[in-house]
Amino acid sequence: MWLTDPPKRMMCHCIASRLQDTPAPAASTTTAAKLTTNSQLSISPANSTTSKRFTNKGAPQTRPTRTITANLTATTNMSATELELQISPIVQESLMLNSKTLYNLQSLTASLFGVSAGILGLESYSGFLFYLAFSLLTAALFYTLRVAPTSLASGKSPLDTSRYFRGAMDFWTGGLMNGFAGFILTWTLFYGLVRA
Amino acid sequence: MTWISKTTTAFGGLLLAHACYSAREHTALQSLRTATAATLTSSATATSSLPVDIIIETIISTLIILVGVVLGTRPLRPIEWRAWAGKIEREGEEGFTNSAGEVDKDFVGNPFSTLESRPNFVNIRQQRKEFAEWVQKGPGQQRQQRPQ
Repeated sequence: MWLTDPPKRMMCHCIASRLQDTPAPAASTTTAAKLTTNSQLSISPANSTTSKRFTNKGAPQTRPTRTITANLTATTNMSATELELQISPIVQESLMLNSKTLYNLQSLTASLFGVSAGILGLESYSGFLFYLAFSLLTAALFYTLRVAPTSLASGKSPLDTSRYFRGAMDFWTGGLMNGFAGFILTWTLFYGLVRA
Repeated sequence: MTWISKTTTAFGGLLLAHACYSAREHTALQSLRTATAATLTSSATATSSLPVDIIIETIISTLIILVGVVLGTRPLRPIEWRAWAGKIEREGEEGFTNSAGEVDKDFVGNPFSTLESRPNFVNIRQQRKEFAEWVQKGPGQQRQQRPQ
């Protein structure tokens, strides 16, 4: 029966890290005064690192408690965003994938807007206003069709993109910078094609 | 879902091409008319803007393509670890398909799989007991009940 103990203990850690899936009520507290009350929450990132160490070595060498205390002493000097990242870690691959999806969409649609602006024969300010309006419309449409259904279901407030993206400004106005060159290119090209 | 976005985009592209051709023809006709008017009456009228229907068609087709392209983007993934791992746990591979319905190539599966399948922590006595029970049951019942 002694063999059954280590798997059970490890499964406890596993379950503890899975319990993060339920929305943590204390995750929104960022003040340093509540740092001590959040101390149990920071088990999860420490636990992920220790679990990796266990799988590498094969046998547990350090108790998780030691890393938790080490982590706690580190968190006392952290800023609010760092603490937030420690409480709810970010999956970098998902972040990169979402950013790439958004960037591809913005580049593609900016070229499309250039085509229609060229066909309409817009000049100077009206063309840029056209681009501004349509890129904001793209962000709104992308939010409505891709972000909103699951984001609202997971309890985020409307127009909150934090489930899939970091930084709301990048999501809403990032298309203005990302697709600008493509817009100018196709705008001038189609203006010249139609008006020549 | 992918055929919806493709047909929408193709339809919008067709409308946009038609609007482009119409605008091209309109400007060509306009320049020809001003040229003939200049030779006949020597009073050139200013080039008027596009007709309203071409403007409407361009904008509508742009919106249609926009909807099609947005529908064709791949589904997003949650960036928070707990939401992401929970999605894997709940939906498995079905939650990580691209717009064509195939499982993504970089789908890694359960992030806790290294914790769950470790031969160091296999309960060998339990398995031996189960194996002994399975052997004792005889050949008839072995086909119905396989050990876990």
